[in-house]
Amino acid sequence: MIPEALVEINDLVINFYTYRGVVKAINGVNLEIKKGEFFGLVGETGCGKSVTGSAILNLVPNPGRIEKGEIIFKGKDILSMDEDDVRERIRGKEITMIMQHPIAALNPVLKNGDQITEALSRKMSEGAAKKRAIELLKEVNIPEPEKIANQYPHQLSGGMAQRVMIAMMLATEPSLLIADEPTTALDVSIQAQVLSLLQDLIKRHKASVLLITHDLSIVAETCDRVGVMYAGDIVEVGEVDQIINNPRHPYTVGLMRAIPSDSRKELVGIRGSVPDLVNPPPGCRFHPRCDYTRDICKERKPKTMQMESNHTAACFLCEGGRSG
Amino acid sequence: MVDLRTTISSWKGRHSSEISDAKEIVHATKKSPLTIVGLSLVVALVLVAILAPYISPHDPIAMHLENRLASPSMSHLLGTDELGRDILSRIVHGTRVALLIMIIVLAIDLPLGVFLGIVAGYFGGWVDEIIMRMADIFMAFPRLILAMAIGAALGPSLVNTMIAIAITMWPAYARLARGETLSIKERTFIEAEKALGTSKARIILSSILPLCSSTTIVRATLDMGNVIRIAAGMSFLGLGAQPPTPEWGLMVATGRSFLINQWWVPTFPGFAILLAVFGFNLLGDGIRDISDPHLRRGE
Amino acid sequence: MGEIVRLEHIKKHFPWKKRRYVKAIDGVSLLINKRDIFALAGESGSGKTTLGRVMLRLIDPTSGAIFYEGADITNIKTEKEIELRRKMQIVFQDPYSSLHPRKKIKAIIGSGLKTHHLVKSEKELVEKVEEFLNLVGMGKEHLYRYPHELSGGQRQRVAIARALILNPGFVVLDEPTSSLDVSVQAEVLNLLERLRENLNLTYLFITHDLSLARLFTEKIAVMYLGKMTEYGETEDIFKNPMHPYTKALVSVTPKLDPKERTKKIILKGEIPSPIDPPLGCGFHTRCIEKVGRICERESPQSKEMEEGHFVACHLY
Repeated sequence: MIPEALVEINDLVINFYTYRGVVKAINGVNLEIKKGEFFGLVGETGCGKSVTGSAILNLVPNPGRIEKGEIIFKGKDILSMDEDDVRERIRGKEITMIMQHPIAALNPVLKNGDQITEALSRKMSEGAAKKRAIELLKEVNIPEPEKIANQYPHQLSGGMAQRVMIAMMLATEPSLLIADEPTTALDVSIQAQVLSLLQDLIKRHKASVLLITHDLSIVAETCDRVGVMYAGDIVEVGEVDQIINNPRHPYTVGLMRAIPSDSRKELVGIRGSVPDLVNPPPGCRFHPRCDYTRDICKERKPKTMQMESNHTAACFLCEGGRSG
Repeated sequence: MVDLRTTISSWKGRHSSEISDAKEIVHATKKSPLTIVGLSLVVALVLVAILAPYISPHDPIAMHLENRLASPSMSHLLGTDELGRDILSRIVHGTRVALLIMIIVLAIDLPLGVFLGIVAGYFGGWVDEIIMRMADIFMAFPRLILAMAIGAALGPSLVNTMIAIAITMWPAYARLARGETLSIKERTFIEAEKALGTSKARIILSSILPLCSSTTIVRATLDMGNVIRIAAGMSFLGLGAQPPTPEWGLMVATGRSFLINQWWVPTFPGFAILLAVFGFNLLGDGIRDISDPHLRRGE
Repeated sequence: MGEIVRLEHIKKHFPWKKRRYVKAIDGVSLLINKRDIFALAGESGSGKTTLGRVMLRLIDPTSGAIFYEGADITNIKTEKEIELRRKMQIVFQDPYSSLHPRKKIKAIIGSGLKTHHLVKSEKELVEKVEEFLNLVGMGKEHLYRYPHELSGGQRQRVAIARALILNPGFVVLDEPTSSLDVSVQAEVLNLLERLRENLNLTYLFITHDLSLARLFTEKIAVMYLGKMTEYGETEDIFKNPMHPYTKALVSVTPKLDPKERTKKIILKGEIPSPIDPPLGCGFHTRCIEKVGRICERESPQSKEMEEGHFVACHLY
């Protein structure tokens, strides 16, 4: 166990049993999120990033099944905890989650203020909870918090709803907030509001954030450390400037070249397409699209290599890299 | 020989998508035992109808008064009716009548109802109003009553029964098609056709109509049970098929008075009705269950 | 080079409930020249999507005029309208709903050829469709497939082939890569660029992603609540944004490279609804450089500040 880690995911394997066959969605993922850090989990469609986030709360949807692995949080493995225990103490309490479509995630028949007081009802009296709810709404920069508290979710705009969700999810002072594509459905100017709010709040409440997104640029601007996922594997992990300035995994390199940047006048895509995870490629799942494939890449799954401190990549190319 | 092989393989190439779709449908069907039962019953019905003259042991209309109301025996497996006619043969030939009714009703209703529904949905406005109000008027009456009224007005006969039933059923298809059209016409691929300059008629025929087919087929299959029931009901009341036509409902009607002592006379035809309705209902349910995920995937 | 599309004082108000209107477009004029790659940028409610469709007359404007190659096309009907469809085409945002799920790729791409009688036989149709499939980097094995068998990037290529097979001069690209993964986006954009070169096309690139606009386009018009706030050459607008909204938008667009980031101007408040937009300048409710009462009363006129750089703001 790594001392500073808040959440440690060890060797997570998740399969989805669909009518087309068994989708090997998560292929042995190892990840750790430290106390007080803003961690970005980045990947394209189907890479498994959302499933990983849900797995932390043991909420993998049907037809998915967690085949093996541990998720260690405060010394206990969430995956082997009693379901009641997880519900009482972890979900919505110590580890909370916000998602892409906040209005849909909020209870449509509860007023906005009540959504928050519901989360607090165990710890304090109703009066105190109501007061705290208004305080939280103020903290997330909702104008006229009393009025908004009295309204219903469908009366909110996307950006406001997301802020109400954040208020709700911070009410219980969680250690970890999982944010699954929280700004993907929002306009750029609203996205900026929400992200900057998240950053402020995290510092103030001393929580960690797991930001799940496909947008490497927002990760670059907000996160401390980044994990890059591809087809169910974590292919590279490192501090933000390590990943941006010195990407080592060919997929990460490919992603960077596909993102517009003022210094680069050209976009380069990654040839081929995301593999079908019912029949994933043998060995390294990225090898069919990689320009540096060698024979070993087609046969064995690459181990995670350490390159600099805090920077690892799962690629045979990196074998000769500096260690420690 | 070479020519044939290449023709076949190029046909397979061009239709590989349909072939794999068909395989999937077969696979899904195999998993649902009730659907298989329904399918078997319907297929059996159709086969019996086609082969009726060859498999029916006796002439369905030939009367043998000396042998009337005979109980089931080796020569008459289901007994004979009040005019000495072989019940089994009459039931077998009755499948033809039942099938004929279904085919005629569908042939009238599907094109009429679906067409009106799509037109109402696509054009909206007063066209929609007129068509839907007409549909409402027809749907306000319980089907059997309305069919009876029309049948009585037209005069009792099998053909008039079919017309009457068809008239009562078109609004349901129109409603269905209209509902589907309303949601389909907002989809981007319809806008794309407009942007390409495709005419309204072509958009309706080649883009909207094919998408209405799945719900229509499900509805039609489930409705077949209703068609048989209503036809039987009308014949029972004397408005439908006339003697000596071997129509199941008519057989039940005329055999009614013999229920106590010669139970086989009305019971077996009643049973035939039951099996047919049951078969179509199961098949309809099955088609709906299978087509749902299968088609949702494509949309 | 000549003009290809010109809009004069276009307004589009959608009726909404009793006597209220969604003012999707509230007075926009612009000019697109041949071979331009013109970006139309904005967020929700800006009217950019509606404007693209009005240009193509897929939606009729409430008032104002549209010109194609100098000819007034605002009110043309039937045969002239059909002819127009050949010359102006569109690629939609969502490749998952812009292709008919029950039609094969051959029928989808070939649809326009039939409508405009551009081919005389089935054989000719197949040949032409194959030609354009190749042009967008796909092979003839896709001819008889259904859209659900293709990936998002492939579907979008099919949509591009469908639009280009009619040999248009002007193509509206409505957020063509927003629904695609980043790695696929790059390939599709490169394809669009190549096609523009080879087929001599003019593009209207509608997007909410300013970094893409900067990379891909030469001219840009920024819209907010149905009006155009700033217009000019793309590089100019990014290096020297003048409208407070443009400044804010450019500053908050996420950038991978920390060296490119500037101080973020985070706008407060929500984007107002186009149903009852604020009086005067639509942006005044969130503007940090508000001049005064005039912003609340009068809608600013568009002024040319430097050569080719127009701003609609009371600051100037």
